[in-house]
Amino acid sequence: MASGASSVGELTERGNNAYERSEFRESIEYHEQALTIAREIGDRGDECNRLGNLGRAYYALGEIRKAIEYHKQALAIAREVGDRRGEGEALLRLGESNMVFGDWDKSLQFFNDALEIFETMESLTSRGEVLSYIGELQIKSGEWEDARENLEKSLELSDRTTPVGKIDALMNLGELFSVEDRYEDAFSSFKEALRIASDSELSTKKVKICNKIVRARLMDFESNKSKESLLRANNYCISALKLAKYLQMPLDQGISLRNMGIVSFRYNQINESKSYFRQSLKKFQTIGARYELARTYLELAKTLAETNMLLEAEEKTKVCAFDATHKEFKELKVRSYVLLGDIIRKQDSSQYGYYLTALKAAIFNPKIYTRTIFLIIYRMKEMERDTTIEFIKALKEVNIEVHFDTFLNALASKIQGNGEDYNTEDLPVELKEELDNFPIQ
Amino acid sequence: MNGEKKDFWILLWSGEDIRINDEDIRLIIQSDAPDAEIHVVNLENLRQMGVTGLKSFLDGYSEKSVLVISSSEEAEKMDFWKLGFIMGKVSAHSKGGKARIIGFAKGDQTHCFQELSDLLLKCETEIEIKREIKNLMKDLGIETKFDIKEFTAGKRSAGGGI
Repeated sequence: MASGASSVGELTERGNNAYERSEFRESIEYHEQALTIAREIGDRGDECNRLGNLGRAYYALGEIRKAIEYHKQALAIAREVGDRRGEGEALLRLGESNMVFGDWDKSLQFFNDALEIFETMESLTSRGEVLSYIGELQIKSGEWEDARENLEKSLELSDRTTPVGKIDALMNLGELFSVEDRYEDAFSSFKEALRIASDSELSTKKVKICNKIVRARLMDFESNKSKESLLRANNYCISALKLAKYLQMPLDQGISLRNMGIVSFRYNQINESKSYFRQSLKKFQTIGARYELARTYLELAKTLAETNMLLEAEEKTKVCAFDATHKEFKELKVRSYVLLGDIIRKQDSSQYGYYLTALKAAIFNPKIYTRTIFLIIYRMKEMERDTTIEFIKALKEVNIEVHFDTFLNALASKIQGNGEDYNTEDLPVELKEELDNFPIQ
Repeated sequence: MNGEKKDFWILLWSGEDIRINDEDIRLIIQSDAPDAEIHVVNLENLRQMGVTGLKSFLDGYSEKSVLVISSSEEAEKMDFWKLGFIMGKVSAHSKGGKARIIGFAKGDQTHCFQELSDLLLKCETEIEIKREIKNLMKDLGIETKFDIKEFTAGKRSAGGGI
């Protein structure tokens, strides 16, 4: 219970300590008390900082709307009192928060605004941090060349200041190499990040790096069936879990447990896998981390679907979809609907309704919309001819985009062989390739 | 316009749901009302104007029709923004060879909002409303065309699966 402290400094320290222990509700209580005092004594600077702390705690809980609200208030005060660092920090956090919603353009705008401020302040460390965030965002949105450029710039800036600043950029660079299937380069980046964290005795960072390595190792296993990578994923998972437990980092423990669930599943240890997922869910439920909780439900559902435990998979995906809808985790919502589509189609190959819902839900972000288009095209290739024709008609009803509309017309014509000619010259090359390579039954 | 009264819809949105740039909107409106002079106004300014202010604002352009369109961070606070769109209706007629606004409806603040209210009653979900909006956009000849590079990014990230 947050009590017994009276000064802003003391309450803030307790709030921060609670945050470090992932006791986010407790952290909020302390920071709220500190905020009240800061307001009472009219200390605008302290008020701004406490609002930022509250924003971070709500962010960790997955209460993103509330986090945004606090960061916006902090931003307004920072601007009012001319606190440039506070303004940049609030903008950075607003960018981070909007990333969870999948509002990538908005995030990028906030990051760019923060960058501009840190540039005028000539703050190399903060510039490096923002560039690393921008790189992370660009990896998510598939803009890999831009991501590389920004991450390299971030590393260059950190080289001129402190090596610790390089850790996040190296982690993101590792992730970029992973999505590009350049696993050896990815592992080198992660290794370097781990070395810096060890040299600087940053154990909490080590947990985060280990969890990232697990994901990359799993991707390598899935792409190349590398048994060594699976073994290493397992080892890194165990290390991350032990360290997170030792350091009392329940949020990271939850992530490690989720990763253990995936690793065990890949070893065909289904019961162990389920047990790890259950522990991950429990951990996130205990600390109230809704976003990570929803992600664990989705990962669990994916493994259940792969083992044809379809009813259970459907139930878990719906929990994720419900939470994602309720909390506006829009990207996660789209992903859950695609997975629901896969689960239902396994039971009845003529069903495609959830894919339509996924496309509708993706309207808010062109990159997520186009990603959903390709996820849908891959699935259409596995459908029966008549179902595909029916599905194309339904897609045309919900689609809002001109290129995809042309693609659907041309595909329908190709499948039905009705000789109708559609001008596909202006189609993006990726859609043209899909059209040319679409198997005709 | 040829001296006839004509109604046309104005769609305003955040860019979160349906993307179209201001220039395309101008072209669409101009094809319907060739004499129209179009002014792009930040929605936050519009919000602060209120209905009375808006009327004065429109009156300021008495010889011309006005399109008010934009997006803004602050717009998130508006109730109807949650639906991802804003709809307005303009009644215009020509005067001296130039189009002139004679009425403007937005939000639920004027009697002309009836159409949107009907839509909200008719549709049970946000998705249905968006579908109706989409139909309306089609009727207006508004198209959403993503930049080709969005497809490169989309295909790349689809490679990673769900």
